[in-house]
Amino acid sequence: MIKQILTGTVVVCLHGLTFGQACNIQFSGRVLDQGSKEPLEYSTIAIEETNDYILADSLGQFSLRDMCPGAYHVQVFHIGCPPEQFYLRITRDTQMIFYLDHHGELLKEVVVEGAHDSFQKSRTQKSITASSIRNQAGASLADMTESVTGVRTLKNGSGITKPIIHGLYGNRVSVINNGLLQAGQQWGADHAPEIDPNTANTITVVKGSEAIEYGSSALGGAILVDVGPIKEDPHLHGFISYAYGTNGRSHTLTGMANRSSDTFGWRISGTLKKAGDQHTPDYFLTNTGYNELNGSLQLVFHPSQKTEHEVYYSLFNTQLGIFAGAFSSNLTELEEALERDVPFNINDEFSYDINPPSQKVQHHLLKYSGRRFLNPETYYEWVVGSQYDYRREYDRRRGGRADIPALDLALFTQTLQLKYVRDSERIRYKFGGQFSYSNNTNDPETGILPLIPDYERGILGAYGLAHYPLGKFELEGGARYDFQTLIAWPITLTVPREVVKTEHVYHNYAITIGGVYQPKADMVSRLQFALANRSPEPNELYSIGLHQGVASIEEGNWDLQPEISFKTIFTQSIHFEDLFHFDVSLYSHLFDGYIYLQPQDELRLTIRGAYPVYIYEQEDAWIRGLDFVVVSDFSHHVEWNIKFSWLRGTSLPDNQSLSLMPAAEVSSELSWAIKDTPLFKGSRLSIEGSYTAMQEHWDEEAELVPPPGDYFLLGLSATTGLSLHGHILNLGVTVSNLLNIRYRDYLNRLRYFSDEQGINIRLSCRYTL
Amino acid sequence: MLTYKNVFFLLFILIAVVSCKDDDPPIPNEEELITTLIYTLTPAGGGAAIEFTFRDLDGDGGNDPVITTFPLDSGVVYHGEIVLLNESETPAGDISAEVFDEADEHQFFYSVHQAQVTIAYEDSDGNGNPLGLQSELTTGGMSQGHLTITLRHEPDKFAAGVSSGDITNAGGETDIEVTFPLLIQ
Repeated sequence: MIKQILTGTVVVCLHGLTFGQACNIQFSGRVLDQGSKEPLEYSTIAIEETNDYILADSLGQFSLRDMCPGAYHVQVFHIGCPPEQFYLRITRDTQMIFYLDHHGELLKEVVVEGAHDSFQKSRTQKSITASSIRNQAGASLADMTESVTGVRTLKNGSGITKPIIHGLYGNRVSVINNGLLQAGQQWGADHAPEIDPNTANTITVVKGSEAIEYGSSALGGAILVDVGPIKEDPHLHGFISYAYGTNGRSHTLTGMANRSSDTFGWRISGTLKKAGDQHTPDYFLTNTGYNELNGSLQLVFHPSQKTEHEVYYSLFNTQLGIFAGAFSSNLTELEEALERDVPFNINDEFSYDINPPSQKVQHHLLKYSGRRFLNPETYYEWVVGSQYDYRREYDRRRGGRADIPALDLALFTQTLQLKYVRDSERIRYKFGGQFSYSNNTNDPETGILPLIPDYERGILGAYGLAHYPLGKFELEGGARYDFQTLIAWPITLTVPREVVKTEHVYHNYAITIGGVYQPKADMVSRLQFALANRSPEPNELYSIGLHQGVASIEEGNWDLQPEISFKTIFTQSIHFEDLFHFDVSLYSHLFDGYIYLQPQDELRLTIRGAYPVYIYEQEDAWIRGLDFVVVSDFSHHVEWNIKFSWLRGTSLPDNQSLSLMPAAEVSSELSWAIKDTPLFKGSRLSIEGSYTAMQEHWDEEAELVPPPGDYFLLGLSATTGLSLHGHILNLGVTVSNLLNIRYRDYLNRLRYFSDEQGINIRLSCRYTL
Repeated sequence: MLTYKNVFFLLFILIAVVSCKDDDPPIPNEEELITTLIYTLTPAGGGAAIEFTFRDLDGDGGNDPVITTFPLDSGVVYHGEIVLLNESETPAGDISAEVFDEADEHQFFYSVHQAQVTIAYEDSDGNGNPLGLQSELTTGGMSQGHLTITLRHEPDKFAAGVSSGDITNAGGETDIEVTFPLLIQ
């Protein structure tokens, strides 16, 4: 008898000869944990259409006889897991493996094999799953990725957050938005990624120095945001979720709907957010509200078994305020600000108002992609993408000019990608090429010299990746070359001002070699070397002025050369039975010509006072560190984990500390799964404590003031799922900074002016249709 | 259904619509730029006026600013007036007029170190708080030191001490902070 083997995460339907079959089908299978692949014992499988309930045995196995052929909605429950719903068409005896997210924490932390890219098993990557994204409804992309060890966030107040991977951020971290390199203004320390994570299905953090398929500049790592394939199900499905946060009185409404048939599928999603002034334990952070309106549309056509076309459009739209008590002030004012207990410009009343300084950002992404299978193991894919990023930043200005943006940048990017993929058991390889053109334009109506100049950039790149299994070893390698032309039109500081057209040609490359050694099923070692170079970005070459810096003038350097990076990362994962999961990563990242902001010896006198000057310069540098995770799962009821990350970054010639390197952090979480009741499924309670050390290693010349002290934060969360007539209602409560402590963080650019957010209670509910 | 020819034609169109920049981008008109501060001191009893100037024609970068001052006579009352200019454009923009129009959002602060000089506000905004474009400078005995003139945009003019010229609780954003050496002879 032919058996149909399906998995819960990707449901593939085989169409067989099914006419007139009687109700004698056997439906059986197992329920496994997505992270550890271990059985989830005594799970419940509920079939909506027949009202059948099946209880799995101690090995997670289940079986049901005498089913009729047809389409079924199946819900799977296990203690401590968020319930999941699957759709299957059963036409003959069927075996099914359902994966549930039991060890959410573990999955996040243990290297995920091949889920996204089976070509680079040796790279160290962590995934944040749908259930985790769900529990953090309303959070930003950087906040979500921060749960991964080794990832921290660079903040500008609490509203603007950027991910830092192994000490690197901005130009050195790429965000891949549904298969397309996100083309935004990521160079700015106060520019958050222009992306809505709430409708994503998975978010993957790649800690290696390559995302070689997308470009050679991701020296620090990459974040891949995916909405995932549309589940095949001819019925309308989707969810609607709402979250409320007490701090900032934030509302987040997210919805998604999809439907799919054999030949055509669609999905539509949207997010609406509104938040007002956030609150420290003592005062409101006036003007820290934000509004967001995001949406996406995905259409998939399967004209034949061999061909697939997809159109994807997403819009990200935000308006956000910058804390009114922070000024790009001179040194005198900074000293005044530091001495105060309560910042300047604080309102005693809560407000949703957003006044200058503020930002308005819009990001459109339109993508068409197609795939053609030559055989089940080989296909080629083509992608055409257009992105339009429109950023306006407003300052306090005289003469009624506050409504005129102080920075008005439009970045238009076109991308064309082609690739050929062969994915067989013996060898896997792919190669491809890319062409991209981008055009950055300033609106001169700002009446202010632009922070970065107008520029045009063309990149023509090619890459190849291959993967060979050799018994217990697996070897892999990849290489990429990019030819880049950059034409920029910087404006000089002479009188009168002049436009100088400059042209640069760069040859960027990346080479990776890695291996995986798996002597036993519960022990995996990964080693990867990556050599890459990154050419300087327009802001590093040409930025001028005060706008961006806090109490400092930042200037570009026209003479910068590409920086060369060599990263080695070693990861060891060990599972001791079902009790302990242990994961450690060690890395060393060497730079030849690391581009950084070098403080100059003299203060610069301007009509607004004296300012320290920072100029982009290059020096050899070394960043090294370790990430460490232990997850212990004593009884499936109680789970405990510890995470630790430490890194150190120094310049090599003089052993000075690099700026904005995260301090050591250790966190621990204890979670307790509560037994299912007929109504409440997958309930879980957890408590988390995290300690962030003071950054002891800092350069007295580069920092205006010493880094703030260490702090300890406590958090609580409770989640549960209700099964209501075949639909699932998830409820959650999360409390962050439970003790409402006062603290400041070294990685927050507003640390000079205000404390961090106080206690926040977030209530969320989500109804799955 | 899309054929491959159609697909490539679509790609071609998409790339062809991208046009390259032909001309140099326009230079923004920096009408808010303050290049020059002139503090004119006219002896109340008559006599030649004295001008303290701070001039930085190319803005924050480039060449250093040029500062000129003159000695003051001891025991004299001067009427002081501040003029702010944007001399990067012709004719020069009068920034002090903008400050005057938004008097309630601006305040000058005069802080004297060591020299025997006192400065009092001579003007006010609509709320009766000082502005500081007009001032009265009184010199004491022979001494030397320096004078720092600060203009704050959006200070808290009602905070303690601010209306009497104490900058400590003012807050706001610094539009001007220039220091002149003082010599009283």
